[in-house]
Amino acid sequence: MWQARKGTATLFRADRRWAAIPAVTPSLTIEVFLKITQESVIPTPPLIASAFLYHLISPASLIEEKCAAVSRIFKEYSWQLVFPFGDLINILEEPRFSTYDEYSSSINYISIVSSDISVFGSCFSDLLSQPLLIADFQESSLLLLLTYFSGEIPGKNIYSVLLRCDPLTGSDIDAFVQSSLLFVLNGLISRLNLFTASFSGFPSCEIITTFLVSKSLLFSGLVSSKISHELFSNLILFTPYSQFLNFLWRKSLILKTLIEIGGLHSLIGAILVELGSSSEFKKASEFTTEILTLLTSSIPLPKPAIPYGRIFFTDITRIYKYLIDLK
Amino acid sequence: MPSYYLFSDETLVLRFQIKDENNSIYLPSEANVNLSYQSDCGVGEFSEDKENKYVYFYFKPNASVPEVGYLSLHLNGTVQMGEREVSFRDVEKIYLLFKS
Repeated sequence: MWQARKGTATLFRADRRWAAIPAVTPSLTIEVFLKITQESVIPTPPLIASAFLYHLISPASLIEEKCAAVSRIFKEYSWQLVFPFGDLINILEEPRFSTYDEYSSSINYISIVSSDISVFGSCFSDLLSQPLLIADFQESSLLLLLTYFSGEIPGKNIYSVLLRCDPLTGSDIDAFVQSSLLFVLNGLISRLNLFTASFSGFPSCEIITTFLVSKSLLFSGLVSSKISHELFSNLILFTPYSQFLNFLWRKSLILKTLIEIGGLHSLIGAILVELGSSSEFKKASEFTTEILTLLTSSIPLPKPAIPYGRIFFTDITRIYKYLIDLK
Repeated sequence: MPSYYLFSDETLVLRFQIKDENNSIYLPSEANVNLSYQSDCGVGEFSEDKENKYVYFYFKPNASVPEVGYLSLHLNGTVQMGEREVSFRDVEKIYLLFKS
């Protein structure tokens, strides 16, 4: 005999029956419009170099609160970077600037001898060999730059592994060097939002443009020293080091490396898979969403599943607050 | 049309699911589905069990209740299918028989 008694949370048998039925999770669909543009995915060394110069004097740095704190670090970094940089820059003798395309022009006037690009690898190797410097720097940034400029890119498609990994710690540096993309995918691309702002037409572009095309500079052969002078006399204007490296990461290194390894479509496919199983890839969701946005010029939006037929209430069950005693 | 006996000082707890004809389960917060209710004898609120895909409804009768009251659950959903906006709705009315 069943008798209901008030005051407990024991479930009625019918409720237990329903509770035993596994719930069905509706599928998540992603709507993505593919608008892949060549310039958004294939960076070139001149572009990186130009971006570096452009980024140094961005007025956006004026509002960066951490600028002063990183200036010392950036100073050291600048020396390390600019020294080989100056030897590798060729400034064309005949300026071909157009007033409406200053930024593109600055790219045209800077080229890096591709055969000598490995020099950058040694530059970042030197940085990595300085413990005090690494303590302040984002060592992962240097490692990635080293990986990029030295041309040692992991040769297998490891997207799925990358997207699941935890960020590496300092003790994992060796492992990171072997597969640097692990770090990249998990730690650094999450701050992708500055990319667009970096190319949104800051007036300061005129400064570096004028600086580079002035005839006295072009024919003086003092490009390296001049740049160095500007770096040290305008430290307050510098974009913080981490911000700059994040930019490089986002725009150039990550995408180039990933695409070289597996191809653009593979990357997008991997990202879509990642987004489709959010429970397994929660930590990577922000990054993958952003990088997919960059690759496709569209924002992937989770779309609710479209109901088939109609939707309705079902399985309405009363949860009894009665103890069911069997006598 | 279900009906439940209820003490006037008792909280009624209902559990249900929202499905389509393909037996897929939906949660209001994830599927652009709005839930509401009407009643002449009390107030209630909805709660979701996201893990198990259940919706709970907690209903508290008024201090003074009729011998027979009602509770109706309303479901309204809108889904964009291409350029077409499709609306879904359902109503479930429940009679409450109060015991003294």
